[in-house]
Amino acid sequence: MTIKRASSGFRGLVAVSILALLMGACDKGLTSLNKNPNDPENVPVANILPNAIRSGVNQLMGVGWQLRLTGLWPQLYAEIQYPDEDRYIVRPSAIQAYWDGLYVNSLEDFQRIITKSGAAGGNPNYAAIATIMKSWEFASASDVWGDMPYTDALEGDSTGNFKPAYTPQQDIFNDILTKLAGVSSMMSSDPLDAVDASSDLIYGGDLSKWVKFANSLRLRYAMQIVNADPTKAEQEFTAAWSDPGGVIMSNDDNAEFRYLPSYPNDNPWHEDWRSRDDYAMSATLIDTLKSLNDPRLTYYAEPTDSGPTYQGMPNGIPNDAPKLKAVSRIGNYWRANPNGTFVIMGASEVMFLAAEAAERGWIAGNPATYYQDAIRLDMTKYKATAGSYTPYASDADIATYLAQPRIQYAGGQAGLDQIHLQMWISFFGNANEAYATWRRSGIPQLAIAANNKQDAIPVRLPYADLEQSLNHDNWQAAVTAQGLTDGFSTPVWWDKPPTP
Amino acid sequence: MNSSRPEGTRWWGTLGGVVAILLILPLALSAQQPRSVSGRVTAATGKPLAGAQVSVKGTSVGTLTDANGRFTVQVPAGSDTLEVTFIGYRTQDVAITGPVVSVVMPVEAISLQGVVVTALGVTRQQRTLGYSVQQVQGDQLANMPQPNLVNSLQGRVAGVDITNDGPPGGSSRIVIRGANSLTGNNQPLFIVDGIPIDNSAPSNSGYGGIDYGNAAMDIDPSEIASISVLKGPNAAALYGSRAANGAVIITTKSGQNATGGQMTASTSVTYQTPLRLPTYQNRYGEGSTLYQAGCDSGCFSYVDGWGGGTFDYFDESWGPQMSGQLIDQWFGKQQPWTPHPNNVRNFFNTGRTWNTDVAFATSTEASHVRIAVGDQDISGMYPGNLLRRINAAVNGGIDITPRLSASGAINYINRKGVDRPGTGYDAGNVMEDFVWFGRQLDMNRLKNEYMCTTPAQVQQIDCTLGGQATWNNLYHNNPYFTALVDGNHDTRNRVIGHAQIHYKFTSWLTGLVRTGTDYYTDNRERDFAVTDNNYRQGAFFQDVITRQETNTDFLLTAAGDVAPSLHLTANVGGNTRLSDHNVDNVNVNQLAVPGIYSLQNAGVTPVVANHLYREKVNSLYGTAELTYNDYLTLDVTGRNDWSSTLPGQNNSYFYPSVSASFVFTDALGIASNTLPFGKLRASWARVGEDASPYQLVNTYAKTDPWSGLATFSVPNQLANANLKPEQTEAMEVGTDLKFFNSRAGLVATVYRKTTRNQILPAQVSTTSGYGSRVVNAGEIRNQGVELQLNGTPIVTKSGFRWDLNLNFGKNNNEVVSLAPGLDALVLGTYWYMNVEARPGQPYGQLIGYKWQRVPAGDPLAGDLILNSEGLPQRDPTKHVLGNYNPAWTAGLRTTFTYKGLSLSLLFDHKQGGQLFSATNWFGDYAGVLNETLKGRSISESQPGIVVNGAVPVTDSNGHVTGYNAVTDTVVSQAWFENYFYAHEWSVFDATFTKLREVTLTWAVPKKFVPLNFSSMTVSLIGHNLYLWTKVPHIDPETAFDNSNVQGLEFGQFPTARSIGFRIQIRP
Repeated sequence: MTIKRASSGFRGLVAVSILALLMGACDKGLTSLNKNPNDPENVPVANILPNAIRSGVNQLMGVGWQLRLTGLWPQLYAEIQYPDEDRYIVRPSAIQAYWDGLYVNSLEDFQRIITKSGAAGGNPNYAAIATIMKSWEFASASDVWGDMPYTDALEGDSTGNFKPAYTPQQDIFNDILTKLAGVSSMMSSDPLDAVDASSDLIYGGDLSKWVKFANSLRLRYAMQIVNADPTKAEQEFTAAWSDPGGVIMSNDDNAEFRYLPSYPNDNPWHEDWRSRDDYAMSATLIDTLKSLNDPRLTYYAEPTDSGPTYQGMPNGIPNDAPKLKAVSRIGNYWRANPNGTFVIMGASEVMFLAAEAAERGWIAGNPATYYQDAIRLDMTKYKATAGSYTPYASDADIATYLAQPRIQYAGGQAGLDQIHLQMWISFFGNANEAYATWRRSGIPQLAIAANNKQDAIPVRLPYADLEQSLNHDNWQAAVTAQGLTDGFSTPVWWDKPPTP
Repeated sequence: MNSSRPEGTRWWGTLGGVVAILLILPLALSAQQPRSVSGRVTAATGKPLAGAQVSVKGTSVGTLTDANGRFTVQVPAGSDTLEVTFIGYRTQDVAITGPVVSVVMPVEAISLQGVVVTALGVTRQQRTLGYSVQQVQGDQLANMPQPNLVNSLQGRVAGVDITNDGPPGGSSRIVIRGANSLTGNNQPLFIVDGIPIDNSAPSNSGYGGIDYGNAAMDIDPSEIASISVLKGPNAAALYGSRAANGAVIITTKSGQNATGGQMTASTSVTYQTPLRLPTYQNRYGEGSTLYQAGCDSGCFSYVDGWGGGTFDYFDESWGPQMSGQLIDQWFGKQQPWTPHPNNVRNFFNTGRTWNTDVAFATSTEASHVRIAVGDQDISGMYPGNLLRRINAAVNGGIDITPRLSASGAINYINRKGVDRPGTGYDAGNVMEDFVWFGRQLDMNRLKNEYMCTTPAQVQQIDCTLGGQATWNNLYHNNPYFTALVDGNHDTRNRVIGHAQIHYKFTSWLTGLVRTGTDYYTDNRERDFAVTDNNYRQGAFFQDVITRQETNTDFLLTAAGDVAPSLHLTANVGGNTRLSDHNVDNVNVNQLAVPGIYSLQNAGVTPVVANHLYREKVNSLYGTAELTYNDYLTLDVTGRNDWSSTLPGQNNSYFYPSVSASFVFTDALGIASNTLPFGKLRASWARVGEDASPYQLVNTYAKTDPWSGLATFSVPNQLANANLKPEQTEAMEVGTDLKFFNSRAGLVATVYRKTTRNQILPAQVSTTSGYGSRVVNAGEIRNQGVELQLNGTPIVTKSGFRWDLNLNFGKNNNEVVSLAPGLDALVLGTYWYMNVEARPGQPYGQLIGYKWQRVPAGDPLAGDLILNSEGLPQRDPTKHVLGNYNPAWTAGLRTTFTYKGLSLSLLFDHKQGGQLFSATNWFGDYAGVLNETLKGRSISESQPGIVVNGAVPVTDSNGHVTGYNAVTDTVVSQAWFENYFYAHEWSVFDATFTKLREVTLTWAVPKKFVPLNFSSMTVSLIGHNLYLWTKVPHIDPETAFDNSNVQGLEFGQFPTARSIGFRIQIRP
C-alpha cells in the first residue's frame, strides 16, 4: 500500500468516526424521546374522582359482586345457568378480580386523592369525599373478608410497602367510624375550594349531603358491630344520630349513583342483560313478597312467560326446578334500564336503623314510627330519580300494606325481626347490606341451597389466591388469627350471635 | 371508515393467467438429432472418479461414471453444456466442444455449505466461524410455498421451536434455544438484506380475537436466496440488544450474474383440508339427563333457544338418543332426530392456495437489476375467508466509478384478509360452537337457513331486524352467521427498502453507508351484525396500526495480511435506529341502524384511543477477525448502545464477544478420505437489552370519559426510574466434521446462556395499590445441545442417490430466580390454569388443579376420594401439571434422486412437553366427544359409570382417621360435567411426529421446455400430511397466540393438510 492511499483511507476513517460520535454518544435527545406522549404525569383530582367513584360502585354494586355472590347467599337472586356460586363454589379467579379491583382500581385512586388534596395547596374537600368513599368500600369489603390490609395498605408508591400487614376487622371498623366522624372538620367552606359539580358523580358537589352520608354510614357500621361490641356500637350510633351535620332523612339526600344512557357508562346490570341471561329472582324473595302482598314485587321481578305470573328459582337449582320460561327474571327497571340507579345508602335504611336503635333504647322516638317511615321511604325512593318510573306504591297502597297484621310493628324481638326482614327486602339492588344484615340478625331464616357444596350458607369469602404467594406471611398470620379453615364457614369478627 | 368488502382486487389475478399462458405455449420441437458424447472424469491428481453424476445441463438426461471414471451420454439437440457433480468436489459446467470431453474436478475447497451470511450482512466462510450459524437455501423454501415464512423453517433448523396458531394467515411463533426473557419477547430478530424488519403479532387472549399473523410472513419465500439462522447472542452480538434471542437473516435474490437477461417463473396450486378434527359421538343429541325429573333417557324440545323449551338453551349433548324420532327443533316442529356424523367436517370448505411468482433479472459487468412480482391468493377452509398477498420487489446495483458503487432495493407488500376465523373462547369462534354443540345438528340446515327468514322456523326472533336464525340463542351464533354475516377485513400496505453506497478507499479499506426502513400501515376492522351473540345491537371495532423503523448505519472494513500467513479483517461501524409504533382504536359497541359499520352510524358514543411508542438506539461497534494460515481464526467484537428507553445514567451499555475457529485437519495435516475436514470452535458473548418505552415515570391511565369529562386512574403498574439494561451471557463450543470423502457430515454444538437483570413487571400484592412494579430481577438459564447430521448413504451408478439430513435440538431451561420475594410469576391464566415461571423450575410451568386422592401411607393411597355423589373432588391446592417446552425437537429430511426425479420427505418431531387441551376438557363436559358415550346406558333403566374410589372415615371430632373403599355408579353426564373442577385429565403429553412435507419433482426433459428456458420442473407437493400423536382429538402443535403463554389450547382452528402441485421455469 502506498502512503497516499493509506492517508485517504485514514481521512475517511476520521470523518466517519466523527459522524459516529455525533450520532452516538452525544445524542442529548435520547432521554426526552422517552417522555410518554400518551398519558399525563399529573392530573387534577377532579379528573381522578369520577372514575374512582364509578369504579368502586361498579365493583360493589355490579354484576359479579351482587348478582353472582352477595345477593345469592341471602337469596335475593338466583343463578339459572351454571349455578356454581349458588351452590357455594366460587371461582378463585373471580375472588382475585374482586380483591384486585377494589384495591387497585378504586381504593388506590381515593388514596391518591387524599394524598394530593392533603398536600399544601390541595383542596381538602376532595380528601373528605375520598375518605367517605374509601370507608364505604373498605367496610363493604371487610364485611366479607374480615381482616384485611388496611392501615399499611395502598402505600406501594409512598413507603414502598408491597407486603402490608392485615388489620383486624375490629380495628378497621373502629378506624372507619373515627374517620367518618372527622370528615366534616376536614372540609373547607372557602369558595375557592368548591368541589367541581361534574366530578362528584353522587352529590354534584353538595358537601352538606356528603356529611349526611358520612353520618349515616356511621349509623350503619355502628349497628353492624352491635353483637361484637355493643358498648361501642351504642356510643357511635348516638354520636352520629345527634351530629349537627345530620343524617339522610329524605330520599332527596340518598347517596346514589345514577348511570348514563349508553355504554360505557350504562348500568352494568343492563350491560350484562344485553348479552346474558344467567340470573333470575330467588324463590325465597318472590315467595316472601307474594305472601306480604308487597307492591315492590312487580318492580323487582318480571312476570314469567309461562306458569305462575311470578315465580322464583330456588337457589342452587334443585332437580325439580321450574323451567326457565316459568321463572321470573329480575325486573326491567333494574335490567332493561341503561341509566338505572344504585342506592349506596338511603333514607329508608337510616330509618330502619333508627327503628332498631329506638327498640334497643339507644335513641328517643317510637320504633314503630321509624319503621313505618322506613317502609314508606323505601317504597317511594325511586320517585325522585327514576325518570319515567313511578314510585313502587301510592300513599294509599302503602297504607294498605302497613295495615296488614304481619306488617304492623310488633315490638321487642318480633319487632326487630320485622325490621330486619324489611331491611332484607329493601336491600334489593344493594345485596352487600342484605348479606351483612342477614348474618348479624339471622333474618330471614334461609334454607341451604339445593345441590350445595358446603355444609352451610357461606358467611365469608376466602382471600384472593395470589395473597398466598405475594403476601404470604401476613396472609398466613391473618388466617391463623381468625382460625380460618376453608374461607367460607368462619364468621367475621362482627358476626356474633345476637346479645340477649 | 368504509365498511365495504374489498372485492375489486382481482386484476392481480391476471398475473397468474399470464404465467399459465406462458406455460402452455406450443412446445417447440426440434428437428435436429441427438448426438453421443463420451469422456472421463478425474480428480486433479489424475485419479479417476467413479460414480460422478454427468448430466446434460437443463435436461433430465444424465448418467454416472463407471469405475474408470468413464461415461457416455446422449445429448439432445440444442444442449451444449454438461454438468458434473461429485460429493467433495466442486460442481463443474463443461462446454461440449466435440464428441469426447474430459473433465477434471477440483476439490471443494470450502467445506460444509461454504459461505454464509452473518451479522451486519457480512458474508463469511463458514470454516472461519467460531459460532453456529445454520443456513437454509431459498430453493428449499420455494419448493413448498407456505403462507408463513416461519413455518418453512420447521424441521430444517436444529434447536428451533416453532408453534403456529392454526388458521392460514395466522401467526407462528419461533423460539431459538429456549426462552431468555421472563415477560418480554423471546423471538429472534428478523433482518432482510441488512434491514431489521418488524415481526410483531397481535396479542390475542384466549377469550377471543382475530389472529392477523406475525409481520415477517409478509416476506415472499420465493424471493429468498437464503436464510441464515444465528442461534445465539454469540452470533448476533453485533445486531444489538434485540438479537439476544438470535437472528433470522434473510438475503433476497439479486440480479447479479444474470448476464443477458433472465426470467424465472413459478406457479403452484395447493388444496387444504383439515388435518385433524375431534372424534365426536353420534348417538346422543342435544339436551340433558340431569336437572329435571323424568329425563333419564335425555330430554330436549326446542321452543326459542333461550330456555323456553326443554333444555333448548343447553349447549351440551346429553339428550335423547338419535333414532329418527320426531322432536321439536330449531328449524321446525316435530323433525326427525337423526345423527349427522360429518356435521363439523362439512362446515369446512376445501381451501385453495395459489402462488405465482415472476422475476426478471439482467446484469452487465457494472450493473445488475432484478424485478419480481409475487401473488399469493388463498381462499381458506373457513367459509368466506380470503387472503391475498402481493409482493413487488425491485433491486439493483451499479458501479459508478471503479471505487464507488451503489445499490438498493425496494419491496412493496400489499396484504388483505377477509373474514378470518375468530379464535379462543368466544362466540366469534366457530370452533367454540363445535365444542358446545348438539350432535344432531345438520350443518346444511345451518348453512341454508342462517338468517331469520324461513317460515318453518319456530324460534322467536324478531325477523324484521334481519337477525340470525340459530340453534341456541343464549350462547351461540349460527356458525354461518359468524362466518358470513359478521365480518372482518384487514389491509396492510408495507414498504421495506434500503439504499447503500460502497466506496473503496484503498485496496485494503472500504466503506459503506446504508439507510433502510420498514414501514407499514395495517387497517383492521371487525363487524358484528345485529343479533350477534356478543353484540346484540351490532358493533364494530377498528384498529389502525402504523409502524416504522429506520436504520442508518456505516461500516468501514479494513482487510489485509498483517504478516505472512496472518490475515486481518477489521470493521468499525455505527448505527442509529428510530422506531415509531402508532395504534389508533375505535370501538363502537352498538349500531344505530343495522348493517352500516361507520362512525356516523354509532348507536352509542364511540370509545377511541391512540397510543404512540417511540424508541431510539444509537450504537458504535467494532470487530476484528484474525486468521492464521487459513485454519485458525480469532474473532473479537464489541458494541456500545445508547438507548432512549433507559434512564440517562444507565442508558449506555457495552457488550463484547470473542470466538475462535480451528480447522484441526488442516493445521495438523491429518485430512484423509475418512476425515477430510474437522473443525473445533468456541465462543463467548454478552448482549445487553434495553426496556420497552415509557417504563421510567409513572403516568395516569386514561379511563372511559364520563359524559364528556376526561377521567384518569392511577396506573396498576409502578414505574422504575433506575432501570438498568438486561444482560444475556452465552457460551458455546462445537465441532464441524466431514467424513468419507465428505459424504457425511456432523455439526455439533453445546451451549449455555444466562439472562440476568431482567426488566420485568414483578407482581405484587394488590393491597399495595399496584398490581406490579417494574424491576430488574430474575435470571433464566438455558443449556442444550444441537446436532446436524447429513449424509449420502447411497449413490449408485444407475443414477440413484439417497440423501439424509437430521436436525436435533435439546434445551434445558431453568428459571434460576425471580424478583426477591416473588415465588411465582404468572405469565397467563385461563380457566384457573396458570402458565408460570417459578424459581428452580423450567419456564412455562402449567399449574392447575388435580383430584383429591388418598394420601401416601394409607392402604388405598392414590385412590380418588369421592363425594357423596360418587364424584371426584378438586384438591384445593394447585399443582404443577406439566411444562410446555418440548424435551427435544428433531427434523429428518430424506431425499431420493433418480435421474430427473427427486422425492423428498421431511419429518418433524417434538418430544415431550405438556398441553392443557380445553377442547378435550369442555368437549367431555359437553358430551360431544366420542369417549362420553361411556356409561350412557348400562341398561335401559340404569345408565351409569362405575367408579371405584375411597371415602374418608372421620372420628367424633371430624378428623379423618382413614379411608374406606367404595364403588359408586354415577350418571354419565354428572361424571363428565364434573371434569370442570380439575384439569388433571385434560393435560396431555404433547409429543408428536408430523410428516411435514413431501415433494416429488420431475425435471421436464429439455425438448418439452418451452421458449428459451433451460429448465422446467413439475412438482407434486404436500404439507402437513400426517400426524402421529397420543393427544386425543386435536393437533398438539397449537397455541392461543404468539405470546409467552403457550401450552394451552381451546377451540383451535384445524391445521391444514395441503396437497397440490408446482411448476417452475428457470433461465
